[in-house]
Amino acid sequence: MTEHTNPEGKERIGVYVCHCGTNIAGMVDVEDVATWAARELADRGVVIARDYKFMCSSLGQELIEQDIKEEGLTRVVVAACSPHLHEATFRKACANAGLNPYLCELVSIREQVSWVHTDKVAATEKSKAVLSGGVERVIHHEPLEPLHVPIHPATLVVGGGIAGIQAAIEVADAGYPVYLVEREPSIGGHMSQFDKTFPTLDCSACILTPKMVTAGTHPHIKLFSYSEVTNVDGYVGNFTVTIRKKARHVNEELCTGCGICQEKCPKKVIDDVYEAGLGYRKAVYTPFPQAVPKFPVIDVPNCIYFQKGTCKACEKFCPTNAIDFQQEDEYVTVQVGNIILATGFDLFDPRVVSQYGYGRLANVFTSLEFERLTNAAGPTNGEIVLRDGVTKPTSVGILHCVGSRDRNYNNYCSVICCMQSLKFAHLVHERTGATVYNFYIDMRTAYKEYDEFYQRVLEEGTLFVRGKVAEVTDAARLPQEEGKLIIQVEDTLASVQRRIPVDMVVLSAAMVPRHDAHEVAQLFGISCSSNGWFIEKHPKLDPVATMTEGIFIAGCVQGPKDIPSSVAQGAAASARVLGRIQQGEIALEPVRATVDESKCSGCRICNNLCPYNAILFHEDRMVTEINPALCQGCGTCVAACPAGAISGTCFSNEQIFAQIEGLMRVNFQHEKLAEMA
Amino acid sequence: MSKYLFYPGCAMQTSARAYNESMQEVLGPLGLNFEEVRDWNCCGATEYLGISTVPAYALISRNLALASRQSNGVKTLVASCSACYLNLSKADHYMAERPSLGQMVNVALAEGGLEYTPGTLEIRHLLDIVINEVGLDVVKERVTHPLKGLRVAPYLGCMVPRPDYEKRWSDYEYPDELDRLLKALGAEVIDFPLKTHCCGGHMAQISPTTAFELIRRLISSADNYKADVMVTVCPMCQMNLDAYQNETNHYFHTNYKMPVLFFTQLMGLAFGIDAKKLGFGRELVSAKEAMSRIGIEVPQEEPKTPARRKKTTGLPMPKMPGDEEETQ
Amino acid sequence: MYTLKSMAIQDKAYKDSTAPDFSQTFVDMVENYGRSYEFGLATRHYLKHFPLRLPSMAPMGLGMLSKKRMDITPKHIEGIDQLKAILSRAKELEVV
Ligand SMILES: Cc1cc2nc3c(=O)[nH]c(=O)nc-3n(C[C@H](O)[C@H](O)[C@H](O)COP(=O)(O)OP(=O)(O)OC[C@H]3O[C@@H](n4cnc5c(N)ncnc54)[C@H](O)[C@@H]3O)c2cc1C
Ligand code: SF4
Ligand code: SF4
Repeated sequence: MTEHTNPEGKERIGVYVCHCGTNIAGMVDVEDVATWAARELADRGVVIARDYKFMCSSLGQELIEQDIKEEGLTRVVVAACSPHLHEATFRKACANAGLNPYLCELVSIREQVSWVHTDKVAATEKSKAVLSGGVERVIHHEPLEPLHVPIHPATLVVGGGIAGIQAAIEVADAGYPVYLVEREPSIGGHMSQFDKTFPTLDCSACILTPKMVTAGTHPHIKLFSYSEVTNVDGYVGNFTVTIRKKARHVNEELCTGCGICQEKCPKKVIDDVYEAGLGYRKAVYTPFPQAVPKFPVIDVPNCIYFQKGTCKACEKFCPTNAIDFQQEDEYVTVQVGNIILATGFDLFDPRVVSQYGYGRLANVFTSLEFERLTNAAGPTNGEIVLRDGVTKPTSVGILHCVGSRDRNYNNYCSVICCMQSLKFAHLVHERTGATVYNFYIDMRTAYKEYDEFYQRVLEEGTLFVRGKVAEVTDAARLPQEEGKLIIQVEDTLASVQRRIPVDMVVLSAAMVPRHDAHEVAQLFGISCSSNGWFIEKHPKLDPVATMTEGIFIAGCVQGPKDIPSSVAQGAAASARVLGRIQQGEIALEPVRATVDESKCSGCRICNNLCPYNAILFHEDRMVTEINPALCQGCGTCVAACPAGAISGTCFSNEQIFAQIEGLMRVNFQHEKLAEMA
Repeated sequence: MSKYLFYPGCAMQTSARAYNESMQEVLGPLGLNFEEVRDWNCCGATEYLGISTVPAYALISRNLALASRQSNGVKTLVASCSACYLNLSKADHYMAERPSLGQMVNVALAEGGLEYTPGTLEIRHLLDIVINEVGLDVVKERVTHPLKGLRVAPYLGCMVPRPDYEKRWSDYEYPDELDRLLKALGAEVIDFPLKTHCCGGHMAQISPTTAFELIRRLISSADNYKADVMVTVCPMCQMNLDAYQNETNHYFHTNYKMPVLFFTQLMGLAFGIDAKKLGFGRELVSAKEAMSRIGIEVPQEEPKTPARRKKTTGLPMPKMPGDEEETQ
Repeated sequence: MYTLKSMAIQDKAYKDSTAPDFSQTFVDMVENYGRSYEFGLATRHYLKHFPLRLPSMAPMGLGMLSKKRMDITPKHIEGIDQLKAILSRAKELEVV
């Protein structure tokens, strides 16, 4: 391309170069960039070019507004920080002065120039080049109007742990409908498995059950337990969600929750979920007495009738004829405006840390198993005993950081394990009087009243050994080790190797993302980190939103955290949703991709590339269409289309080529010097 | 017949003669064809790398150079001794990871008209070949005389699964390859907690009392589990546990009589090969009594240690991969 | 681990360990024959450091000999000159 558009400066362009204090000015000669632009880019339509200490300040914005009014600017280019931060600010300034906000272009000379370079001359020249590119590009901008979409007042909450329950109740209390979808037969999540909660040691069930009951009976909450979301269509404000209600084989209309079926069912099964594998349930079961809803489910793969064709004991004894072997899965479709994901975490499987012997050595327990041991409703009625079911331990070793802060497994800290291990130490003292050893790398007791709890456990006489345990073994070396589990550890404070014989070992295992986190993220069109935690929109400033409009996250899906933080996130997510609902509609960026149907060959290459699931394909006409409300304008499909049929507003081919042209216009002085030398 | 290059190492001809004899017997049934590296030299065992770097790697690499020259398209070099296996892998790995070391070693090799490019050969342990190349299915097919009733303690030692540069082993702390192989032979395999602990290496010479303690731990643990024999995959482990057992007894006033055999010897027995051809009788702690039990129904004594392990009453044990489903 | 060991040997940071001496004896034999030579090694090392232990070790040595698990004479490799040339060059390259 040799001929330039915008001849004779049809557009009147204003250029603003920000110092950002010394953030930019320290590495880029900003004054030089501004004077250069006024001189060299005048033929491209630049009528005014200024530098200013803080463009984002009110005074900086007013500068732009004033110039638009007085100089009759038709385009604005701001060379400052990343558009992520201040694009909205400068667009608003333009709009205030009556200029269509989409005629403003932000050029990043901070993240992409001053922060990443060390040569001031070169950095100044690069700033000129990217600025020149921005000027060429802005010429091709078009005035756009934001898309307005109405917000459906209903909300979907996925996951009925404490975070999801909190979110559901808050939205429902404000008077808006909520669908709460829980995969297991009852809501409650991990919290329902605990006996006591740190740091106050209040009874987990006592504080959780009221919330579960509220969620189960709230007039605005429709609870789908034993259910899963199978499909999500649509976009913010207007999602269509399909929920599969798995067949319970119990008629909820008739069942009174009396529990006779469970009593009579002859089939005992190890309960891997609620009892963490440490206890049994029946083939027809409610996971725990306070379950919400109260209706049992029949576990088909384990039911004698379903497998062998005879039994039906439950049916025979049910006083209300509620057992229904014919029941089938039911699919329900609901409309919602926003979605909150609160699917929680899984416990790290310590079998892979083979040197700790979990699965081989009977008296090595996971933290969740230990929670069940201490729980009055657990398999031992709250008795802390060895795996033989009767023997009380006289010494217990608790290992912190199993699978956390270990580059063989997970680099991160699981946040709760130190406190949870202290809680265990306290419970062992209180209930058995056994000697307790805690093996820790660092003691992490941040947050309110946590360190005070640590002091208390110290005073109770727990023995703390700082060091990562090397091995747990039953191979005794000394007579006093016979019949014990021996913990081999380097005590890094005393600089000695220790072998400590104990009766019971508890592994404080890491929190890990749900095993199906990647599939769930894909279903809802949000991103998760490579290890599986869902990614928030901004780690500090937007912790419960996601990059996908209308989808929020709360609780341990986002990363390891304790109950107070999970509850806070549940409430925060619901506040964000309520704000949306009350606005009634939402303005969406008009920066969207569109398909030129006449050029589309129907090759479908773009179809699966869109990270936001915004692309649909019309089988009948063999063409692709992009849903403007879902599209986030990322440009992936534009680049992928071999027919060039897709173009994006704000990033059309024309604009991109013009920008490249602009970049090339700048003669790199120092390069020439280098060549001459 | 799959062809492999083979590095025997010094011990195979001397202290581990039984290993060599039994290995030669089972190669055929396993469909393995081993070609010995011509004029190989000692790998330096655990000593050479302790006092030098370039000379030690040059010593090892002469073998790699000879093997690659002889390879004729065969890429895999098999070692039967764990120390040799580790040294050969180590040289190959570090010559690639630290190019300057690789260069220096090659300068030295050039003095003898040799060269070696790291990565040319794939260095593997005999056990790895049996498990992953031959496969347990083939092994099972060859078994004609299952070792029914023989309680064995699978003992790998520390050098096979660690540091495992190529990630070939199931687990570096608690690998189960040898367990699975011995189960395939029909033996009753105990869950030996010290399976990757140290046998003492050259401590038997350097600091005998240190070695005696390490040997005692291993033997007494196997004895606690009522193992009839211990099974090793390494000449050095066998030598320490077998030849120094009497001395260890003497030192601690104990009276262990734990036969220590090579896995190839048991494989040979299970394949129906005559025990004489398999080097039986070369062990200092005789395996005669233990072996006489095979095939003869002996009342099973309940081992005292495993009482702490899985029990059918009480709380359920966590399920492990490969466990059978618990049925009510 | 070996790095620590060789650093300790260089600095003579060992008090009563016989390990460095053992390593040296071992290495000397390998350098001379190309193969390790257990009989020579064991007798020499024990004579020097644990003479009192020798009598109780004797049955084991005899056992090993009678079961043909130890050779009284060392084995040589053919290319011993080649090996010596390689090792002497390698020693020059060793940066300490
Ligand atoms: C051993 C242990 C002890 C602890 N002790 C304490 C303590 O004393 N004090 C404290 O503050 N914190 C404690 N914690 C931390 C606490 O468990 C968490 O902070 C809290 O449970 C997080 O709640 P959540 O709702 O985010 O997740 P979860 O409790 O995991 O709930 C998630 C829910 O979502 C459901 N679900 C998952 N996937 C789907 C799906 N695809 N569709 C539908 N539903 C789905 C699950 O069934 C579950 O009900 C402890 C943690 C552990 C491991
Ligand atoms: S299904 Fe019948 S027996 Fe079972 S809880 Fe309901 S009413 Fe009771
Ligand atoms: S039919 Fe199934 S659920 Fe009902 S009692 Fe029998 S095994 Fe239990």
